[in-house]
Amino acid sequence: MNACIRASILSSTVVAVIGLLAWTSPAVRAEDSPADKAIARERAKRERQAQIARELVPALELNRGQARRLVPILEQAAKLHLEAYEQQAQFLPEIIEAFGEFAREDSLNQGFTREVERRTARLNHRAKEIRDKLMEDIAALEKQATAVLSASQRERLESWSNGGQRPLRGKARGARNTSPSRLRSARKARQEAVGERLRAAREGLTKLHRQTYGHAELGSVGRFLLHPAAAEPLCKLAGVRPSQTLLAAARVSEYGTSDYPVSLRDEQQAEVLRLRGEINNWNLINGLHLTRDQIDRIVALYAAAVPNGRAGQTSGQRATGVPRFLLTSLERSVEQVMNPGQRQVVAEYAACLIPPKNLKDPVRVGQASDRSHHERWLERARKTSGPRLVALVDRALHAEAKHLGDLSPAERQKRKALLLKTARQVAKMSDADFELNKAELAESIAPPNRKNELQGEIAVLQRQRGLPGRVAGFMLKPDFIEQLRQRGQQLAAGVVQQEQTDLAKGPQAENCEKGCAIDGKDGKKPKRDR
Amino acid sequence: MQAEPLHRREFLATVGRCAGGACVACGLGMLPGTAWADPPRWTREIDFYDQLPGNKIQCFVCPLDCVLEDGETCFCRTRTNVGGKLYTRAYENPCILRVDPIEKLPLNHFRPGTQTLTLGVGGCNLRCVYCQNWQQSQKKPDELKTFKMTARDVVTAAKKKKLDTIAFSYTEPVAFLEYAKDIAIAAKKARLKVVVATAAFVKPEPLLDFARYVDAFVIALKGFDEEFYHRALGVELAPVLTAIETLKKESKCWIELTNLLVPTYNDDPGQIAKMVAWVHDKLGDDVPLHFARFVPMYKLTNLPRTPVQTLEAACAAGRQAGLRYVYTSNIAPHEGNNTFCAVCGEAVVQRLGFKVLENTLRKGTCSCCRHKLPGVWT
Repeated sequence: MNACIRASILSSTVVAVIGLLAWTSPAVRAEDSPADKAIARERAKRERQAQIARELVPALELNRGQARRLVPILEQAAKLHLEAYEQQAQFLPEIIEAFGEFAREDSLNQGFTREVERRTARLNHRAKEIRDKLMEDIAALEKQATAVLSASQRERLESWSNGGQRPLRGKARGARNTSPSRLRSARKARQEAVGERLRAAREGLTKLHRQTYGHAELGSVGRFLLHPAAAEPLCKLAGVRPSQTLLAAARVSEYGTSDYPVSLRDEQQAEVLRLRGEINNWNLINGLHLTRDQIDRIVALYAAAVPNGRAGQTSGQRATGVPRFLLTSLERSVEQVMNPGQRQVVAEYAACLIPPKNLKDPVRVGQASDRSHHERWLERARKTSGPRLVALVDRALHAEAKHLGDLSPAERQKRKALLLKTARQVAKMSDADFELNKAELAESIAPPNRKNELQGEIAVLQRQRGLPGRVAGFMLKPDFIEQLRQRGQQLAAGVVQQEQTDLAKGPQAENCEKGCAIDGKDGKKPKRDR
Repeated sequence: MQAEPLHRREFLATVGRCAGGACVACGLGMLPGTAWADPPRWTREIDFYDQLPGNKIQCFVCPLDCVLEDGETCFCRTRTNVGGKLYTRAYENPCILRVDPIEKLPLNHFRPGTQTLTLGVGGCNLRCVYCQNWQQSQKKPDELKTFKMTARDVVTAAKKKKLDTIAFSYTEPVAFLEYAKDIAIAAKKARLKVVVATAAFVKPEPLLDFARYVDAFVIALKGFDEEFYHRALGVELAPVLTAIETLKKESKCWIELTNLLVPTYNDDPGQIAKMVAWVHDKLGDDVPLHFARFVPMYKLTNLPRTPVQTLEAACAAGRQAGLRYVYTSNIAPHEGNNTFCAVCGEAVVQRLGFKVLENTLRKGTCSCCRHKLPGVWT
């Protein structure tokens, strides 16, 4: 049979399988509460992954030899999945408790108690570590599994991933009719300057975000072929019995364990996501310091735009609740309610769990650029010279690459030269000169903030295309508006006057008792007769 | 040749010797980052003190009137009796040296949008239990890492950075009054402006002597209750009020006031009402008043931050008492950061924290109604 025809039949089968699964997956019903919707989304995601995994094995037309080579890799992946499930069983309830307390304190806008803040930071960090480790381990297995596939199988899987993932739950934007002539004109429309630049900027930002905050990215092989649900069809094809580990992993991924059923896991994951969203919203609300009047106006504008108080069309992954054609004009109206300072805060906002505590600057909302790290580096570099300085610079470049993405060799060399030059320059400065200039010097050695540049570019391009921007993205959502409403009620309740501290009982300031000295020649406090 | 195994006792002894050596090196300042500050050099005598019999002295800089025997140091930690003469330890040794926006002081009616060379020296004659800079203020100058800067060096540094204002802040300038005065004199010669952030627990005479060389004061009126001043700050309120009134009547300095609202300590609406009434009656309705948000610090880490409603209520009380320029501070973005024309209500200076976003004043005049706002704008 002609290889091209076989290839096109195979890719069509793959796409059809995915499309069918997407269409038949349990949908989120409009009448469900937000919590139910979130749980249903988690369940749907999990079930969809498992179904795709089961159907992908026959769709890829693997042969017995490939299946036999994949089974041991899948076994290792299954162990990782089991371990991860066990960790989640222990971890998720704790993180829900911690995030819940944190969200409660956040809603009061009076800062956080030390214990709550530390616990939240610790658990958040641990959750990220666990997630990153799992992704890295599976990514390593994915490489091995990908090597088992033939070149054409890989190519078909990749083209499905690039084109197919976006339309998994419907059609891609700008490609509503997939007939060849419409596709060409839709592609052409997308290739118009603004649209193309916008897409490129968004992709760049996503990639940068993943590099900075995310984990190793898994492809379709890692996500579906190494999913425990693929064990049964793969073992059947290989002509081997699935091991206890594979059976257990498949069972756990579908049903969970007797102590920790998968429905409970779905609920808890949905709750963690909800709490993260709530905390992000509170952080932004706290940072904006909207007045009561501003809050009332924004809430009224939103209520007028949302038909019958229900969510309208979806926009991307999350519902804004506002019909798309009204979103941009609503955003403009909300921006008019805010003052320039507040608009600037939203423009620079980066969602984070724990707002930074830069006491030098009262604008402490999201992770705005803070150069204190670079100032400390310069202080260290001042005291270092020779090969140790070069090693210090190399370590700094390595850390930057890890968080901000790799530089080309030429860029790296240029950056290294800048850091070395600045370090040698500050070493020659007097302490006073360094102290006065360190903020500027830190700014000069800070790596280019590609994230800010891309965000700025995206904001401009979106505006050019008449698309909604960051105000819409962060603020014009049902959950944000609801929390804003709560903040309005808090402000309406007025000052909650607390009982004044009994000054005689609190920490006391040292008093002079007129005529005293703090110490004498011997360094001790002198005794006086009064 | 095979090395002999190290026995546990020998290992512990070696570690102990190394640790001891490190401590000695640390004490001698040989290890990086551990150099002690220079000891005081007794070069600058205090301008306001009396000599008493038996090599005693009495300091008259602040109302504490410390009486010191030979070798003793004042309550402010910066003045020491050396053989019957009172010298300052806080001279040419600032521990804080920064370039800051002027709004940080906070000064909103003095050349908005400009920057200052700000310095502070260790020591303070107050003992505020919530001090925001306690690591420097509650230590002697020679107990801190400092920079060697003469008055001339400070002026040169300001000119090099193209800054035309020098500020004394972070710690209490009354504690390093002599150094501040010498810098201010040098600054005046170089046509630089001088601004001071102080708690004003100082006697009128030294204050006015210093004020001759100062362009603006930001005075921290921390509360309006004697018990609060005594128990939470370690001093008295009455001398502070006297100092503020004296400065207003007898100097030409621009004055702004600031009050840090500490939840359950000094945020009682009754106290605030009395304070704003006093400000209005004694200083006039054009004196800007800033209500700042408290951040848990020093001995009051158990308290929450000041609720925004409390700050807004305090501002409302100020306006109700007739004050025309009432601000919120240490909280941004907030409408309270902006300057509004008292006549037409136009936002003439829009700020985001310490940053000026827009300034529509023309030499201090509102571009809408031509009302001249009080302050120093150029």
